[in-house]
Amino acid sequence: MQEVAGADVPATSHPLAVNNVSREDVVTPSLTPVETLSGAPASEDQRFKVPQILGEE
Amino acid sequence: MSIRDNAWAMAHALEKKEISAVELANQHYEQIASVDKDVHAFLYLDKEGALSQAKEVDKKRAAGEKLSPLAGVPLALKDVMTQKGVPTTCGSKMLEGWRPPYDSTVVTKLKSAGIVILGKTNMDEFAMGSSTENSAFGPTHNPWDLTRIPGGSGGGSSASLAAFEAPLAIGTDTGGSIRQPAAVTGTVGVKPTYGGVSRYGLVAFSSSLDQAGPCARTVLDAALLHQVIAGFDPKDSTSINRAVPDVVAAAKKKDIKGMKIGVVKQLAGDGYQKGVENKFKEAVAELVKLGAEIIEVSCPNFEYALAAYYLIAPSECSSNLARFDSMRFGLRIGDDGVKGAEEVMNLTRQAGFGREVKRRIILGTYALSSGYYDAYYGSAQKVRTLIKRDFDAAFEKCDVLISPTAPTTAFKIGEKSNDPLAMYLNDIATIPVNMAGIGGMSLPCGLAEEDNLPVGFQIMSPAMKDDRMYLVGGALEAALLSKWGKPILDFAPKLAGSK
Repeated sequence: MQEVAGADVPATSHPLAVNNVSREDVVTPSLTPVETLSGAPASEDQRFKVPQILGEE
Repeated sequence: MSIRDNAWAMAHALEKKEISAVELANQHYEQIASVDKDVHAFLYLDKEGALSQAKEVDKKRAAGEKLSPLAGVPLALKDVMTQKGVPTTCGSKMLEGWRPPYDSTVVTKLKSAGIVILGKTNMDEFAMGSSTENSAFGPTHNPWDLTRIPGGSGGGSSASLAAFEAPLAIGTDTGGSIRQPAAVTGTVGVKPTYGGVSRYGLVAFSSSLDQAGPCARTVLDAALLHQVIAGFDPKDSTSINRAVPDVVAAAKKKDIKGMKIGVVKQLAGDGYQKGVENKFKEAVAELVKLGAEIIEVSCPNFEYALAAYYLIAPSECSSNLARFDSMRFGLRIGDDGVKGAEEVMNLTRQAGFGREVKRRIILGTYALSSGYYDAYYGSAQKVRTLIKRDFDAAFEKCDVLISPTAPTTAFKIGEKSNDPLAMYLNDIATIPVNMAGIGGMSLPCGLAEEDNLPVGFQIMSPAMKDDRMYLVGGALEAALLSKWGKPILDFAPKLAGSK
């Protein structure tokens, strides 16, 4: 691939030229905390409960 | 009215009230009960949800409400699309039992069109594979020959169509996962232009390549489903904000006189089964009879497509699948209150991911690592540009391009499962389409003389000109149907217990 992909060839990631996308800053419906946590292996007080991240010290 | 009819005929029968949506769904559940123990197209049946959806459609129809054309027609959904409250596994132990709290945009559109979702179909784990053998829940069997693969990754969706368990299905195509299963099961599958159908709620494998699309038994049915699921979606930042091409009108037109059709020189020859090449050539002769002009085109950079694909797809998958960390959803192993998060994450991934998924995560992590990024992922993205240029040059001379969809007919289950490279080569003709983000369709063009198994015919159209592949596909399908005298699936051996 490096034989043909020289410095003069740009990269492609989308077939059409797409610009960065943003939207108006308005509130739209989203998942409730209960829905968000519904698939979690463990949760507590409306938060994801995870194994300890830091060591004992 | 029979379950062997196409979706369009079912829609008509529903409209004329010759059958209710509930009856139609039940007939399909009966067929599933009879044949799916052998085919294993489905991972989950949502009978309760489907029947309540069907009841709703019947009620609206009785009340004289205006319904969408496919209202009440059943559909099988690839288990990579989220459907609220319905288990979505992606064929992986990692997500076993997970019920998503939201609908994908495709599902939202299906539901609002009144399409009845029967259940979720089997697939290679996280859509990585060409045979559905990589599913953590066992392979799907090809209805033409139960000892053979139904293609992949969407083998369940295509097999459900060929086994008359559903008249419509949704697939996703990253390197051929809609088209290659369609080819080996004698069905139709379409990968729309990248960005043509929303990826919101499609569990990501390789984000710059993944694309959902319609699967059906006829070109017109695929077009009708395409029209339902396509269109701009603000929830997908790569979604294209333009009008959806009129694929239904194109599928119905059946006039290709004067069209310029390019045969890609590189997608033939070494590695292509004789019977596949013969059936392809016979179909090309039909196109000539219909008045199309056939031109040979050369796409020299397609030679690098497979190599570039196996850098881009694993790289993006290694990043995407990092979300399966056992913290927010899915499997968690070893959380005994003593082990730390990293150890739990490792144990979970070890147990939750299958071999092919692990292989691709490892390859992708290596390709993206510091010092290698430009040489691997960077070069692969440049190759995409070269492939796109090859397509651009070809489309200056031709309206569409054609090739066989897959180099062989369905191979035996187990035949290639220990040889990843041989498996990857099955996607050699479908991958260039994903690399350039253009549209691709597979439709059946006959049975290979060596093994009497279906051969797929691929039509490729420029980005957002998806109507062109439906135009050519619809015309070719009609010509072949009149030549054969009956639909290709009528040549398949009858499954035990099938209607």
